[in-house]
Amino acid sequence: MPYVPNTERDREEMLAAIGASSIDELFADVPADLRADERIDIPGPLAELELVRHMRKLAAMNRTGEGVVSFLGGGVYDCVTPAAVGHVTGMPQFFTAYTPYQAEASQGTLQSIYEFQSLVARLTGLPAANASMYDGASAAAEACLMAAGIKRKKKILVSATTNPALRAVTKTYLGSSEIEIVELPTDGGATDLEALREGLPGAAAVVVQHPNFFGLLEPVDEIGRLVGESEALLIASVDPVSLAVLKSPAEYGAEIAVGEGQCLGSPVAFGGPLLGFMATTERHLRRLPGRIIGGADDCDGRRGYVMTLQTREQHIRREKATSNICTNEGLVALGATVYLSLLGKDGLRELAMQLGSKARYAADALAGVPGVSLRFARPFFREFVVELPADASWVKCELSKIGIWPGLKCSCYYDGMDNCLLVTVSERHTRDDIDSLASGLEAILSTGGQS
Amino acid sequence: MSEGLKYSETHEWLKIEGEEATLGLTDYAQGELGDIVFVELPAVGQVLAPGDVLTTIESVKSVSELYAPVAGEVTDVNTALDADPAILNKNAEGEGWILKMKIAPDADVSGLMTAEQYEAHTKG
Amino acid sequence: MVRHFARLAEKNHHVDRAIYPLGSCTMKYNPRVNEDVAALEGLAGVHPEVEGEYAQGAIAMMYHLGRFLAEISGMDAVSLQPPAGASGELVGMLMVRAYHADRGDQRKTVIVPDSAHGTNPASVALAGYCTMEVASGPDGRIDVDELRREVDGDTAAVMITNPNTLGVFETRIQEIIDVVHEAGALAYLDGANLNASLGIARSGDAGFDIMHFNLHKTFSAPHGGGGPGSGPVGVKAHLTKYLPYPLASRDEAKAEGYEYFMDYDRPKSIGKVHAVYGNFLVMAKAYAYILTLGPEGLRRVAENAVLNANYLQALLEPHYELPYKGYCQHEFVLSATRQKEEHGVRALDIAKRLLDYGVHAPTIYFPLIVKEALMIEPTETESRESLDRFAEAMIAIARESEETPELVTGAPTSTPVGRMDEACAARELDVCSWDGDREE
Repeated sequence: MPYVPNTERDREEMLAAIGASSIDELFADVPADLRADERIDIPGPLAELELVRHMRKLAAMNRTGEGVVSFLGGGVYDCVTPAAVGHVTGMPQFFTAYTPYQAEASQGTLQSIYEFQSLVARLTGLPAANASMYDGASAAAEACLMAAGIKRKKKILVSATTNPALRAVTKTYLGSSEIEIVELPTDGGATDLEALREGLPGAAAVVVQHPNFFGLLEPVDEIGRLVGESEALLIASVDPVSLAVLKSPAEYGAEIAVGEGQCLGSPVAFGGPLLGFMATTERHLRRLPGRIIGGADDCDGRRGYVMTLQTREQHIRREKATSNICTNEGLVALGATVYLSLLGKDGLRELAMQLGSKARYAADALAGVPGVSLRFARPFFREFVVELPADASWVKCELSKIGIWPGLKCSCYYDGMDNCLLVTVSERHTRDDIDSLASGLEAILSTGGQS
Repeated sequence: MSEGLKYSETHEWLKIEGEEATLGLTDYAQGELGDIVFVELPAVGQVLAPGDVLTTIESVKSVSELYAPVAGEVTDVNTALDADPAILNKNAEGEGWILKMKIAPDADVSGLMTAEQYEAHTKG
Repeated sequence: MVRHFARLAEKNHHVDRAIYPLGSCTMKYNPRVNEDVAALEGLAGVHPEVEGEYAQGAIAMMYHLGRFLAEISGMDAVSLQPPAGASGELVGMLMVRAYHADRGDQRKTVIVPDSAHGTNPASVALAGYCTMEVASGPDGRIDVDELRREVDGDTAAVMITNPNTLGVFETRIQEIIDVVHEAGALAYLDGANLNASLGIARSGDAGFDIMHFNLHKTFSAPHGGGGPGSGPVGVKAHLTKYLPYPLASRDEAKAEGYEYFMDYDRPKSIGKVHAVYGNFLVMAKAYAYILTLGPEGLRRVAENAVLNANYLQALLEPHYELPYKGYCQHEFVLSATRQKEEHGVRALDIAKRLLDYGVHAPTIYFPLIVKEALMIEPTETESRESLDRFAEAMIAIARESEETPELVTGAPTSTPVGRMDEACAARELDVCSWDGDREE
């Protein structure tokens, strides 16, 4: 069913109006030797019922967090989303529209993005936010390019405690430029300040993540002070929920804040779509990549919204644009806007407090298991690293047999952490869930296995 | 168009007084650009070779660059354009001047056009 | 709160309401069953860090979608990772760079036609290349002789959109690709306009080395008010090793105990462009769409998209300047020069007036090589009645331009707001509100 409404009779009459004898004639410009004679070898067509059955079958081949107790995180978080979020993003007025090229017929999309920008601005303390990037990783990469352009310098310092995906994507984006990425080593799970101090001369920017990949709070005041004394600019990658209880990036001197907004009401969805956000100071507004919505008046003085500063963008500036981004994550940004609006300032704070206290409770419970300890001594948010007396892969495998996914193996991303797991709590977890992780772990470790 | 000014093919005007020159965007070019919303001014002291990008001028949906028509050094910029870029639309060849420069002693100004020549250029 | 967003929703034009003929955007109907299946807990609820054995359905779907796209385009392998078309272009250009670097060849430029989308030169620049433009000939197609003059040992690649943004098929495409290949460069296809070619012609057969797809255009995934999209990249076999990692792959021998896996062992890969695997839920919608249509259905999409565009073109040609004559493909470009010169009515005014008629405007002022351009792509999911209504509106506006031009230049009057003061918006920037007050 190709979703074509015209009937055979329509087609004949339309061809007559065109003056063509057949549809084939309309393709006369396609050279004969290029015409696909053979049928494309793909399955289908499937009737709707067959399709749904097929998709359900595929879905059944996956295991979701339902029926297991999952402590997976590491950048993509399983959040509890109010039902209204999906119902708003499911309105055809939003999801079947496109980029608001005609402002007068797109005020709904425009105002919602303006509200998104305002929410990002309030969370980060930086007044100039854009309409979204693909994900937190590409937002960080774009921030590096932006900083190199502002400072006209060719060195960027990136802390090794940032999300590995952020570093991988940044490396790809900067790979063909002359910009050199210098990775700052870790010290006790946080950015090594001595290495930072040494790396600063000649650097355009420093990228830190707070809380970092291990869930730890970085010494951001000290980092902000050091970077502030240099010519470099501070880029902070932040967890938006944490900002309800932590200092805003602006408060510790970051000039660009980026982050991953999936945790604001979007499903984990095998990692996509995600939601990158990005904000900066008024001074650097014209350097921002991507779309920006601005308030304006119409010809009769009525308040409305338009896409503004479009001259930065690829459709006008072409090869000199601040970025090549066109399509962004609009609908996901709308979802985040609805989510934040529903939670409100107090709700977000309550959520952040809960994530903080559940992580603390879980860490204490796990550290109470004989042989298990916290790998790092710093305070943390949402997630933390435990060191086991056995190989993490084995522990993970054994726990999954009893329906518990204890977290991420740090060895996938860091050397010397074979026995470490990154454990992430969610607002979904009950005390029983966390207790079952601790007791399950204790039971498995006591059976001996590897050590 | 004003008498006494010199014009370049890339739509800059110059008012040359001794070794000093005032430079701006031509009235014709501002009309083509439409509502000007931003002018990125160069730094005072910037040394220019002919053809260097002097400044970028943005209207709502287009961007235009101004080039140095002759060699020299920027001595002053019109900071009023920061606050109100619309001056360029109102009076491009007067109040909307963009910068003043000291022309290099060996600069070649022979390639510049008179008002009449420029008018013919824009119609051609 | 829901009421606030419901009120905002009322202020949007959208595909479900009436035709949305933005050229090169392919605003087709978004099948609801695709939304339903993508929302299945077994897809939307899968964490990307689960062990491969617990994500067999998800990886299998990605693997097979990649195979479908390869078969549709005549490419050999496809990465689904780029989250949008422009990201796919960047991946493509980085692969061009990797390919030449492997051969010890330092090439500097990428040739792009003057009718190209703005993302093309922007992606070229991001990949560290300089853009060289090649002019279109009088028939709107690439001037092959000029291309021959421009292509040399410094040319890394040529980026081509086919059918191009004027809606015309590059009839000499094989000759063009031969010129590119003879110079040792690669041929890249911007697949934004693939809707016209489904089941008709395959870019891989024409000799293209790399292309990107837009799942949110051709394959019916919704545009979401600006995203999320998905921009998979396909390549010929000699470039497969450069595709982003990880790549959804299949091991029928099940060495690890399961069949489908994400392959990270790709030493020549250009790297990652997305934090995880790309926009998985958008892929699910495209996958469902392709299975629903099947091979015959895809071909009917192209046929009806082209038929609809030609029908509209035939209805409008007497009333507007049509700079490039002849049959069009999925879209066509009109020019409002007649209306502008004779009555002072610009393409922008016509676009705004269309909103008063309850339809969306076409893409305007693009491609850049047409003055006062109106670029119209109806798509196959518009009925003849819908096309007739749009044509009637356009014809009425052409008449209004002659008789009552102030009606057109003063439009729109029936939208929630009148014409916005964009100059003022850019001069007096207001991009966020610090206080929590919401305006209704």
